[in-house]
Amino acid sequence: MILAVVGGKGGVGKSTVAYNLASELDAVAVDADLAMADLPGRALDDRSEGSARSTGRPASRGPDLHDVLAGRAAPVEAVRESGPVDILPCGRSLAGARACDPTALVDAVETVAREYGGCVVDCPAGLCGDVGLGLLAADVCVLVTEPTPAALGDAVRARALARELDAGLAAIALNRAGPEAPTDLVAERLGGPVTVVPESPELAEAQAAGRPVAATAPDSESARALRRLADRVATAVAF
Amino acid sequence: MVSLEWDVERTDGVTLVTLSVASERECRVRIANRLDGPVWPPRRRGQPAAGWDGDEFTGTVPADGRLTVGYATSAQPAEPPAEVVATGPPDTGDGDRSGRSPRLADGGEAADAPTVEGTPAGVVRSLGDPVVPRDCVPVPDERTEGETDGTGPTDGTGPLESDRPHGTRADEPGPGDGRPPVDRRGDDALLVPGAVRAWLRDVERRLDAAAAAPEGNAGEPSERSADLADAAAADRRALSWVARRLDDVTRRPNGDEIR
Repeated sequence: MILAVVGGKGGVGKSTVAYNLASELDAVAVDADLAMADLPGRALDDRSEGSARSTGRPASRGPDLHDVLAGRAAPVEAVRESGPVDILPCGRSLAGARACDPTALVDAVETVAREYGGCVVDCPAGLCGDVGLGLLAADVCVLVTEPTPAALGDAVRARALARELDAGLAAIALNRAGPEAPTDLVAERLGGPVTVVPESPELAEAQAAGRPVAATAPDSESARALRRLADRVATAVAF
Repeated sequence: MVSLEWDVERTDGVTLVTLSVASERECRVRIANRLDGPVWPPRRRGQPAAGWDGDEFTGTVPADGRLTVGYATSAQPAEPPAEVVATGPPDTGDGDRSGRSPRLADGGEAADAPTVEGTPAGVVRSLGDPVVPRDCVPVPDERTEGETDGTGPTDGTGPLESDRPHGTRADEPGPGDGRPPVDRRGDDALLVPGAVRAWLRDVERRLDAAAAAPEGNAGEPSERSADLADAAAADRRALSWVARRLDDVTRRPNGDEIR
């Protein structure tokens, strides 16, 4: 089963939600931001990649999504199982981004989902082809947005694109929202159930440490909210 | 009754085929290329325009007009260049899109509400190719290989490349050891224009990719390998032309000083 996490606007917390949903749903988190990748584990990758660069030798890291989309690696080869959540990381270099064939994303994600049982595709911001390809591969999507006019406007557009590409809306994550957030309005405009994920230092710290918040602060409000969100997704589709 | 008219024009080694299909009533047609060569369909954002599948095009002939289709090929002109291989009732719904899209692909009539075709190529056609533009990829400096000072990435795949003080270092006196620039340290890369290095880098990548092209388990990869092989062949021709020019230029009287 394949879940796309989209939002339209950047910086609303798509990667954080995608990573934690992958953890809850026991799925592979796919970093599909082909030109700039930001799931946890990136920092580590960057270091090893940087040292490989500076020595001018081939990087000592494993293959990544760029390699998969360039036909240099099989999708399952690129899944990293060493962290708390299985990740299919994206490459970091612009040259790698330039070399890949983005249309291969659909097949790659489907292959990983078949092998691992599920994928959570962290789609990039905007509404370019890479978002569309993530949605095309997906069975359902989760919209991540914030209670701000700019974010909600972009979420409406992302919702329309998801509908166009037959990725049903499983849930809406209203991120960094307080108790007075207009959840009813958001649910009405976007046409789906809203789960509020409150602003929380625990979540930010967990993400920075490259761990799901359920592992670092299982009783925090944000961990509970993400678990509820995952439950909604699981009921919407057999994950 | 469906009628097919054509116009075939050959220029600079490329045959351009224009087809016009008319019908008494609205219908859906499939047209196949009959020329002996690869079909180069019109592309939208890098993907074949909607309706194209290999060397066949499927589209809808409107009741009050004609369906026009164009493509290019390296094949020699012949008559007929293409044939209508199937006709059927017009599709409503999904299939209708490919009937309209050829006109979209030509850049006109894009006023329809944006619809995204549910295929990877269709998504890229409608939403754009997310691949980073070629110009934003920094040119790696392969000559620094193994000669790093350990202060950080130097091959240009990171942002540091653009921050390097090119101008200041170009003013430094070059090592007068008489060796060709290719053997010197990274500073001398500045003597070679970035465009040349970028081109060489791309050529090397294509040759590598062509050499390592997978045999292909589905339709697309093998087509990709064929494209890569064509590109690599063209690259080799360009390389030998450049090599000859370089020989000529370096043999000029002052060339010895450059060397």
